[in-house]
Amino acid sequence: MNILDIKYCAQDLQFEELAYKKFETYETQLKEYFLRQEDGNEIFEDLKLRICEMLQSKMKMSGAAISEVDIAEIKETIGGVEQLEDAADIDAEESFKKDENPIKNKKLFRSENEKMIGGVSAGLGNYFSIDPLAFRLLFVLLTLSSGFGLLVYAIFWAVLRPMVLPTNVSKRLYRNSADKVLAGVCGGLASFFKTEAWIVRVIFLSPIILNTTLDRFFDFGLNLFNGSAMGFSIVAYIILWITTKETESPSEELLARGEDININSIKEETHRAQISPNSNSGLNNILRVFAFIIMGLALIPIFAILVSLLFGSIFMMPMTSAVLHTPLLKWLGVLSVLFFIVLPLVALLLWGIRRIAGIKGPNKPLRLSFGGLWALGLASAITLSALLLGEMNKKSFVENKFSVPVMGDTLNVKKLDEKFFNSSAVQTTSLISNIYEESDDEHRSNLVSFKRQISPNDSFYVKTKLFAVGKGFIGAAKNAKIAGYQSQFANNELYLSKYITVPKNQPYRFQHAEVTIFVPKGKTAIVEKGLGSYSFGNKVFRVQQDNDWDGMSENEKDAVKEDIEEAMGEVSDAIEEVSNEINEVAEEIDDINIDDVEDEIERAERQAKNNIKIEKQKLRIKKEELRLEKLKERLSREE
Amino acid sequence: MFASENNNMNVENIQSQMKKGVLEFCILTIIDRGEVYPADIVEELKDKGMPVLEGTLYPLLTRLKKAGYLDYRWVESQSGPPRKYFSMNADGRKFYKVLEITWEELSGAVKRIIK
Repeated sequence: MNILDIKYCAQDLQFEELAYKKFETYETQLKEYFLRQEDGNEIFEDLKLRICEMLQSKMKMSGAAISEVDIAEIKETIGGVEQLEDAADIDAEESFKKDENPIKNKKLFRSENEKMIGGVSAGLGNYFSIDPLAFRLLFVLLTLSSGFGLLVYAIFWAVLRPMVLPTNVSKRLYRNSADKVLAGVCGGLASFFKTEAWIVRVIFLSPIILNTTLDRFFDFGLNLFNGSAMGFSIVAYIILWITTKETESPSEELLARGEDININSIKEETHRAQISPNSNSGLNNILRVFAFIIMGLALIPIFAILVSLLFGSIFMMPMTSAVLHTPLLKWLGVLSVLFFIVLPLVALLLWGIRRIAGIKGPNKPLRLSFGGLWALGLASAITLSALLLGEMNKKSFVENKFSVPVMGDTLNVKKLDEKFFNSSAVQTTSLISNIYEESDDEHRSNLVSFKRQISPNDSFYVKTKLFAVGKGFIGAAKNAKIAGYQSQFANNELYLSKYITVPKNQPYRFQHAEVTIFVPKGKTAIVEKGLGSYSFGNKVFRVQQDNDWDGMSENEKDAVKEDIEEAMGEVSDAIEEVSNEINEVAEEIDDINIDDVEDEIERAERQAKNNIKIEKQKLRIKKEELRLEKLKERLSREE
Repeated sequence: MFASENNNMNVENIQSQMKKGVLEFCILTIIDRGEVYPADIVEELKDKGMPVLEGTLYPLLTRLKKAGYLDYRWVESQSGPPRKYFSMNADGRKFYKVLEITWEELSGAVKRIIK
């Protein structure tokens, strides 16, 4: 229990943490009650001084910090707000200004004195008079299933005003610090439901035990305790662990058991707390070992994933800076790695050390900041992946063709030597140098594949397709354009490069190349071994008969067919994309025109209607005039 | 008329009504004897069988002071917050005399009715 040093009416006082919370609540209630009356301010100030005196004398008498018992005794002397209301004189009440809003205590606040994170659940619990745990579980479940929970919680947090709220629940679920194997969850549940702790433990453990042991040996076919029940049990335990607290004061112990809170019960409970039961029994220790084993088994894979992610990102370093080519992406990358991967590793390590050395856990602000930074890392990791995926959702290529003026029937294809390369100093990263290299002004990778086909005419030629991914087909095509591929024809020999290059300041978007060598019928191409990682190495490729389609095996033919289908699919996708754009633009044009035309029509209609009205009126007037004339005539005739 | 919202008329209700009637008078009696500190008033009332909540007493005293029947002065304490000591003034004494007479008449009448 923490001791707080508070300065109250210029006196230095020491409170037990929970006693102070109770005191604050009581003081606020008194203040509200009196401020509703005339001269309430003065009355309250006088009472404050009196309370201060009492607090001092209690400290002197007990020689220790002010406890909940002391606060309860003070409340008995001064009076709780309900008692004061009852005892107040009726005449006096009439002369006092009464608050016009008696529904005041039905307003929703967030709790200032009892909060786990922001006091939202505690406030909701107070409003509905139920255990805040219900709302905590609700928020956790909402967040885990849809992320919504966090948003809702944040809205509540921003909208509700903080207020010191009294406890108005008769029974709450706490974790039992006295009877605990792991965290006291089962003990607390046992207290709440008034059963024995071992029963609850059996309920939690049975899916785990049954799933790991019995199910292996006997085929029950029941599927009663399969992996999902075990997982649910573990997850439920962890959630309850996070969302409940251990009892830290006698009044909380009473709440956990659903007993009345008054001076006597508090005194009894304080007594009982001093003779607490031992939670170190043999059975409990066995259970504890078991539990740690399970936790370890669960944590190891998580640990492994995080470590591999970390090493992966470090070793991909040179390529990483090319993929994340804008500052925004770079920053997101750093944030993600740091807070999403490194932070939990560090936290896990620290937790392990703490557990072994028996040091007390970190305080709330530290825990909150760890959690907050990790959430930030998670958010940036998600954003980063979303952005990157968005940048790479379509593939496109740029094609180039050139003929090979070979003399003779055989073409020798060799690897292009590095001295034809446009690079100065070449830095390599040993682990991935086979795939990716970096020089001062460009990246290069050996993602070049080689194919061969029958040439439709009499000459050799080479077709290069430079692929890239990007944002939409247009973006992908742009990315493909910036790639470079080298080839040379000299000494009657064709030199093809192993590499495809991308200039350094351009985004690296998995540019790769497909080089197809077309060999005419009756001629041969000999390709040097080692040309590219997908090459067919030093094979002789001779086209002789007509039905030797192109020397390709069935698999290769199928692969080609698949490629064609895929390409057709992509072409139709591309067409769709372009036509969508056209439609959008056309709609915009249409919209403008149609609206204008409709307006015009409306206006014209209105005009016409008005005109008709006017004409009608004119007619009416004319009729009237005629009638008048006729009458005049008749009159004059009769005269 | 009853403070409680209960439909049952319970004893405690009537008891508190009776107490309310004489409380002011008793408090003034104590103050009439001489300058006194509210906590002492509470103590004496408790000892003599008429306990009152301090949260009830203080508003009463403030009301009486505002009505002009009581004066007060601040007394600094060596080891604590300052204290308000209340005393009765001339107007207060006149008011008290009236209440005294009222009490004599009332208690006399009740005694006669009981007999």
